[in-house]
Amino acid sequence: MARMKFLCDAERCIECNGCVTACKNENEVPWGVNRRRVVTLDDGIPGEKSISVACMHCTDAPCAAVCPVDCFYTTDDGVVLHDKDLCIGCGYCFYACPFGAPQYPQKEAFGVRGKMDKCTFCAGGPEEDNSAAEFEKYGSNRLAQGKLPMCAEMCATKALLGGDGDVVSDIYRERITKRGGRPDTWGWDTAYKKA
Amino acid sequence: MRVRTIGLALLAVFTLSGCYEETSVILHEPGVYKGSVDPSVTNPRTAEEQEKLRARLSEGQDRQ
Repeated sequence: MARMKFLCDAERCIECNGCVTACKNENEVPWGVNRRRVVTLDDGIPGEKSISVACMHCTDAPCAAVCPVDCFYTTDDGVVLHDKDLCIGCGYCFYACPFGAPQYPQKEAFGVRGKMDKCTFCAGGPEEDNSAAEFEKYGSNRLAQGKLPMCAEMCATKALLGGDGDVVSDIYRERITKRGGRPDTWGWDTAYKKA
Repeated sequence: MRVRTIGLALLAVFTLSGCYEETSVILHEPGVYKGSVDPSVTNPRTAEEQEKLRARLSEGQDRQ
């Protein structure tokens, strides 16, 4: 069984934010919520690198582990989804997520949060596939239509890969092999800089 | 003098005891999903559908 994964090739990402726009447009994401963001390391400094970040659909998802109402589930494709009817907007998943994926629309005054919203890998949610209810709550269900997430399919430089993890890693491995060496985006030097 | 020394030592012990840090990591296990059933879970994708998704990802990819 395939495990759906995202991978952003930082050597290719040009920070165009096309993935962010494509996601918002495809899923009609409300104002104030970004299911996907582009993060730039060393912005403005020569050699800056950008990566597109959303829910990474963790195999052992910490959001699911901390959810007090157990509203998370993982599909057979390895996509982590949640039931908005159960979500109480407590924010635990936001604190648990290392990628800042869970987002909360502001629904009322005094900062009251609405139901959590996050990337669904364009796989909808626990409603009838491609129904109006599913679209309203979770957005588009492209996987049920035999398509891949809009952000990855729209990526102009093919930096963002999304799909079966095995294929994604094969593509990335081939790229790295042809480029030579290893990407210098990740690693201790990036995290802690040079001493 | 001795009382003062003992008092200071006790104060230091009490003060430092507040610096203790719990080092064990709390591990949470996911509970059982309680929401409504997703059709994609009850009707998993067929092998053919999965292959189509794989082909869709592979085709048109720049591998350099």
